[in-house]
Amino acid sequence: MRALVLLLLGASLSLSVNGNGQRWPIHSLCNTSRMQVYYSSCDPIQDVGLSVSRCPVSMVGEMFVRGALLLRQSVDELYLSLDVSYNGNHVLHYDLPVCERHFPRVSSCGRKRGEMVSQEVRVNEDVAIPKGRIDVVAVFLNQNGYQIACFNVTAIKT
Amino acid sequence: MERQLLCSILFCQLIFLSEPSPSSEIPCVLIDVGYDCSGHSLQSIPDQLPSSVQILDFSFNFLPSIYNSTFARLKSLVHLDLTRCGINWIYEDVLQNQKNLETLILTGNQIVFLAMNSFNGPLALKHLVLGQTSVKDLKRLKSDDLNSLETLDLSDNSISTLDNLNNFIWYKMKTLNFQMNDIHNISAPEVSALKYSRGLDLSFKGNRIVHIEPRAFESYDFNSLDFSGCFDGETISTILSGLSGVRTNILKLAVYEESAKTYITSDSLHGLCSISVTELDFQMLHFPDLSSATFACLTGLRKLNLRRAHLELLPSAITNMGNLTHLFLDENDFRNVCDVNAHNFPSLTHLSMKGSRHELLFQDSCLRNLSELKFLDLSHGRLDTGSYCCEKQLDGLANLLYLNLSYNMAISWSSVPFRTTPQLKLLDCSQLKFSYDSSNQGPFSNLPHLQALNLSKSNLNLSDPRLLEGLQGLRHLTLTGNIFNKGVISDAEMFKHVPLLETLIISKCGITAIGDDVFHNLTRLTYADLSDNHLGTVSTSAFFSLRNIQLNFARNKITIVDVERVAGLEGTSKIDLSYNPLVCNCSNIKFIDWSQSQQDKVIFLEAP
Repeated sequence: MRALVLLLLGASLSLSVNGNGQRWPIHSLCNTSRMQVYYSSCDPIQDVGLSVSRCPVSMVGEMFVRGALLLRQSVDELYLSLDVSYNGNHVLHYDLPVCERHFPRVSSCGRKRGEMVSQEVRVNEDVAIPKGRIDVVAVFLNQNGYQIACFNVTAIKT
Repeated sequence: MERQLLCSILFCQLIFLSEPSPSSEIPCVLIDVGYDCSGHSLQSIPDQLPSSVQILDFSFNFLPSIYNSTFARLKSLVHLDLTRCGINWIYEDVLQNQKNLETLILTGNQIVFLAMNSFNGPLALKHLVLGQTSVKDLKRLKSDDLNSLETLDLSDNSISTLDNLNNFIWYKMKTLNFQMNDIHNISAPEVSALKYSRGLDLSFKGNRIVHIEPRAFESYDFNSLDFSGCFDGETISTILSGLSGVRTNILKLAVYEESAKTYITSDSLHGLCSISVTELDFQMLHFPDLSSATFACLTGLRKLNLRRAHLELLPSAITNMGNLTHLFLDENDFRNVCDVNAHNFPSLTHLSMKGSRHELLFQDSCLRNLSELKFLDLSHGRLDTGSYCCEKQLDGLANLLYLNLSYNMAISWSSVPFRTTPQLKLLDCSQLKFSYDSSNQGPFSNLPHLQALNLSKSNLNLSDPRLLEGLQGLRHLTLTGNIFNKGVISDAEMFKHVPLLETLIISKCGITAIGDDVFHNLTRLTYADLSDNHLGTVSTSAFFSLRNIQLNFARNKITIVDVERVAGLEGTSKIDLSYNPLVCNCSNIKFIDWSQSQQDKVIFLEAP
């Protein structure tokens, strides 16, 4: 089963290539008997660190997501663009402002180029996660359209 | 084969590239009066850099130690960026020759050793950025060498005390940044020197403040004070007590997405009565006992930020906020615009209720007391205007200049939807599906002062010649994502109403053909975006003039360009043909020749 998961991931993470043409490593976010979640950076320059407080077999209740990365440019503004596929079919595109100059939603807004940012966000939306495979491509852009971070997350629920 | 190769070379020459390095041996890019050498893992300053360089971006390289010889040759430096260079050691007199240096950025270097006389030399140093540098103690900075400082950034350094702050000269200082440190207590003696500053921006954002000595900042004069993320429901009164007697234009008491829920009672805000402030930020707070008492100490306030403050309404009897001009209520829980109780704020010029979290009923005359209102943002929500909009809903807003209704649910316009707001200059209805009775006059016919109109993705019927009726002052029009009938723009009638138009965006409109002369009434047009359509040819005959106009034909289906169509581009005119499947054979050779001789007239980018 795990071999199958890795095979699928290998196919889906084709964008996860760094500037030297090598793939960034695939990291495991969580791994239980009912659910495996993996992620990989799709940024050409750098890897990214992600962590979750629990495996989101069910999104009912509170959980925390922690992310860390090095800022190559400042984030006076930061926008998140999400593309979600379910069992290989694109189902959702979602754009979300994270930092606006007059509405910095997280404390890392306004951080400067060269700073290492570690941010923990509480997620308490109740969303039922269906069985199957979910692929998410997350891209963060700043006020100049510069890509601050990019990562692919794959969740497989059995 | 040779021909193909030639064509490829010619097209390659058309591709706009960034300015190349001055020499293949220097991994740096020439910028204004300096060089960008960032991100090359360089371990020394390249010898080829001219000594006259004034701006040097050397960030993201590797310089573990800086000696007095490191920059000795670069005597003209004004701006030096050493972000993330792995600097651990900064020895003595490293900038002794840089008398004109004004900006030194050391962000993200774990500085282990900083000699007492490291900064001896740059007499003009105005901006010193030391975020995430492990400078935990102000004692490590010899203040005698930093007499001209205007900006001191010490963010995220685990600083726990403000000892030695008084050693610095403050009358020139404009920005002092202590955000994300470990400062828990602030005493009056520690900050006493700040009283000599005028208009300082001072940030303690993200420090978990436990105690500020009461009246520690009494009579001090700031431009902005940022205590966001510094408090909880218990400690906010301590902070306000410490700020008693202060004067500041801006006071930020925000919390963030990751903060614990912060409940602020009306009593705990009593300290605001002793603070002189014109702009207050309460972003993301909770107000469990919201009443007019919550606002009792906000007399004189001009701007109030209550974005995502979990509000369902504002109290109906606030009597002391007659001076408020800006009210930001984005992402709250209002269900009815009337619940803003606008009569409390008769001087309001700006009201924003963007991104309301619930369906938001917009009833007749809710805002009629706001006769001074100039800016109204009701976008990105689920606005429910009842049967028709917006004549009655906008009743009383005769001075409104800017209205944003974009990204909302479908709306049916009344016969003259903006009858009560005839002064509008900017109207954004993008992603707003609206319907109107096209047998009447055009929906915008009473808006002669409108300068910008965004109707992107509005599900419009672009065959209605009266759509733009009355917009004789319009400068900028966006129709992106609306489909022209059968993909053809053949009727000049629609555009005759907007003779002053300068910018026309009709990208993603399914256009396959453009009739001759359809834009001939647009004598002032300087930019036309026809990108992302299905055009097979460049149709320049549609325009009044090809002098000083930017034409964007990118992402169409143009294979061959008739050079006669583009040869008339004069002055500063340009045509963008990026991402078109231009063929590279004899049938296009005239265009290829023309492109080569007119490289400033054509933009051609290829997909990577």
